Amino acid sequence: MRLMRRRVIVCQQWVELVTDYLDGALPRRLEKAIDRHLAACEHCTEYLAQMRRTIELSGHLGDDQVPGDVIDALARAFDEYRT
Amino acid sequence: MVASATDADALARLRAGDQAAFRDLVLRNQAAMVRFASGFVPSTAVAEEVVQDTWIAVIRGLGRFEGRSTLRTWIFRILANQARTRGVRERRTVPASSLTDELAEAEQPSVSIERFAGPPGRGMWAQPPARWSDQPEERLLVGATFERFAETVTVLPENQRRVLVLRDVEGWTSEEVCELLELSEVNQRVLLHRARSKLRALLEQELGGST
Repeated sequence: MRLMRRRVIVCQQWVELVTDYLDGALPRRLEKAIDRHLAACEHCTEYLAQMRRTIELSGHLGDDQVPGDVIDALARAFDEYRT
Repeated sequence: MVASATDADALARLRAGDQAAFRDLVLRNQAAMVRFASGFVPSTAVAEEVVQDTWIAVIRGLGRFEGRSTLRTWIFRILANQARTRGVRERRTVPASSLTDELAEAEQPSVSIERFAGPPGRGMWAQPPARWSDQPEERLLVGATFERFAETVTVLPENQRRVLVLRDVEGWTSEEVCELLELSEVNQRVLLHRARSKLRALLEQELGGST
């Protein structure tokens, strides 16, 4: 019988790996160990959900509008240079 | 990352003097550029000037753009150079935080070690994160919490802030960010992780009660 020791991840390690995990930058074995841990740990699952909400919220910082007069002024500069 | 077919099309129109194509380019990038430049200079007003100067440089340089990067990366590289030069001039007395310092700072734990129990570095939650991830978006977006969130982003160390803004606010890929900021994938992710972890901690404090 072949014995493969399964990689184990604990909570304190997980909180340092979230960004790598979300970027898909981890080796497959480590990713699987994390999935096993998440399936068993509600706190770390919540932690992942919180990081996702944090990222979403950052996305909303980009909701601002560009003032029309800024675009108009630049468009004039563009025309002037091109002609 | 090299210029895509869409880029080639936009570029052809820009070079032909198509004003609508230029307006579209400004519309899609202006706000992101001001946000990005703000990380180098002391005020939004100065950032807006730098962005303005960048557009002029872009207009003049369109003929020289070779498509070795995306159009967006090329524009942001001009912006970064202009913003850096201006930042040095305006903020001579305040030392900029160095990448080395920021990477060293990022070695700090993302969550205080006191919140874990067990062997050092391998602990389990003793004070688990207070649950707030299921709160509705309106609760997060409106009011003081979002204001403090936005404020926290502006006071992040500059390298962390730049990466966070490009990745999470503007939605750039890790590849594009590394190319623009001349960072390795690993360092980019370390900075991003640090920035996100701080923002998550702030939200936990705001929304999750005392723990």
